[in-house]
Amino acid sequence: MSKYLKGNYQLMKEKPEPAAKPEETVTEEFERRALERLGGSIAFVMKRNTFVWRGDKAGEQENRESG
Amino acid sequence: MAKILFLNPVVREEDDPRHVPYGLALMAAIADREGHDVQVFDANAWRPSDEDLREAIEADRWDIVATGGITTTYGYVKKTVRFARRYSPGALIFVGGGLITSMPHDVMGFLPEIDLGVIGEGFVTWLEILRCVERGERDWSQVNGIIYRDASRRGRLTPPRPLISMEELDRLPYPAWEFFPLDIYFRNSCVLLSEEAMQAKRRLDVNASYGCSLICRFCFHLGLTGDLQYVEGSDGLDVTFTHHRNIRWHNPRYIVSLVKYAKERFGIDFIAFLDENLMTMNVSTGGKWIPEICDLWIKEGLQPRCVREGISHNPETCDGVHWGGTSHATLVRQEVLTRMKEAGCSYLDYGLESFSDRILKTIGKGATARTNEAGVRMTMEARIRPIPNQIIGFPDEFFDSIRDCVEAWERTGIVAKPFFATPYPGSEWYYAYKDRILEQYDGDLEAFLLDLGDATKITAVISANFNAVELLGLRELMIQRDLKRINEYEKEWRRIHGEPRFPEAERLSKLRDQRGRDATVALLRSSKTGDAE
Repeated sequence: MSKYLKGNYQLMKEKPEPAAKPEETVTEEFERRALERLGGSIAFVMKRNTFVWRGDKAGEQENRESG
Repeated sequence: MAKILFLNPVVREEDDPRHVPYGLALMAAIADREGHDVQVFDANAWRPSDEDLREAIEADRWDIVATGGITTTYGYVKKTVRFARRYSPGALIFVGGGLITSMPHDVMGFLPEIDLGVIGEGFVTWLEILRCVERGERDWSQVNGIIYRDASRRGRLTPPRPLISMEELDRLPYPAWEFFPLDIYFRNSCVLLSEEAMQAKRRLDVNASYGCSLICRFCFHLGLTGDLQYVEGSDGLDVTFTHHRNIRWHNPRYIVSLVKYAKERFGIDFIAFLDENLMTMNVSTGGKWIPEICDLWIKEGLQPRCVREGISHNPETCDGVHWGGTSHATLVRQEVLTRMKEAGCSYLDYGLESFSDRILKTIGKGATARTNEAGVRMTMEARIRPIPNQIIGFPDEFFDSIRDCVEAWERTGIVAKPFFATPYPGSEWYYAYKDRILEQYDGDLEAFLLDLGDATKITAVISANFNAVELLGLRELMIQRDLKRINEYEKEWRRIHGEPRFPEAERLSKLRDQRGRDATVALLRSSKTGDAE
């Protein structure tokens, strides 16, 4: 059951525990740390797509490319 | 034999010490080879208290206290020379590097404690000074390439010192890295420029070449690339910086032998090339220089295991030496990148500066938005990380150029927080906008010097259309890629100011009429034909 929901009745559907978060790859660590210290010569090109929604058209485009 | 104290000033106080000063380490090596007594006090590494600094200066009776560095070390150099004069009154106080080269008369005026300054390249001048000190001579007027004080304590420049030849460069001793607290630097080996650079445990820096062929208006070449010229004024000689170029590079054998030595003696696993621009050197050798370095790198066993075996990099088990350096979007070629990757190159720093063709035309770099984008993609394809340096606040910056950058970042996946356009002393911008700089510091040039940093913070604004507050806000909106608010602010800006001004394009147009062809064009043409400039 989602720990994020609070209300006046009991949710019926049990959700399985989420799998352990996969370990951060070196590339993810690099991009995270570079982002934290972003500025001047600390700049980079993101290797992965971000999770931000950019509109349906952009999403369709990404799906076509990845599919 | 002279007793020499080298004092490395604090630079980028807000960051950890990351770079052994290459020039100072070379000067220390030259003095050591000549048989002098040398001590180094590395204030940048130790970040000492004033008491520590005093103790170091009082530790012996020095013949020479030598310091200097780039312009942004000015504040600490000021403190150092004051301490040196007070606690080692008999020593010759000597300053070198870009700080004094860019503005010798100003610095001698601001810092009366300085006895001598070395202007431009110091390899031969430093030797002559040492020999004078050994002989007890004090007639500095006979030593070329310096500024000294005459009987009235005024600064006097002696005639210029020619740059040494490439053959002489290869006869220089290796930097005296052993005189510096390498433990501190190795603790800070990590640089966030690539995965391998982030995981580096023992990094050192190397300068494989001197100067750059390009004529970027914001760049100062320290008087090491033929840029430094002398002019006769009403009050004697003064320096000026021009588009003259005399770029030089070490033989690949010297470079690879130096890296091998660093690996064998200090156990290094990463080399950061400090060169202004590796690609201009490669172009000037008909595309031979970098491939030769890469071939030798592999032949001499410096190729990292992970590259050799095609496996993931593991800093615990990988041998060899990874490396990174500087590139140029227009001059880079896919086949060169492939060779570099094979030899262990993990990042290349690109001064892309902007993705606006209107702005790029005013820079003098010979790049366009298209070549910038192609260079980034090509480098990614070679599995080398491009470091896409960006600048905001160009003299002709406007909303269109800001939008061009944000849109290009979106297309390429660039994540950047631009530098602020900064008119460093010695650069073309400094001379072109000196009045505007002084206006912002109430006419106090020293206040500007003390304010200068690494251009991540705003100092003197040279943008015709934006003030400091606007640039700070617009940079923030760029990082957020908030084109909506950028567009909204443009409407407000136009309501207040009307039409934008583009004074830099006008200035350069007038200059081109005076000087004829732009040197950049010649270099780019030679890159296509493979001819040296």
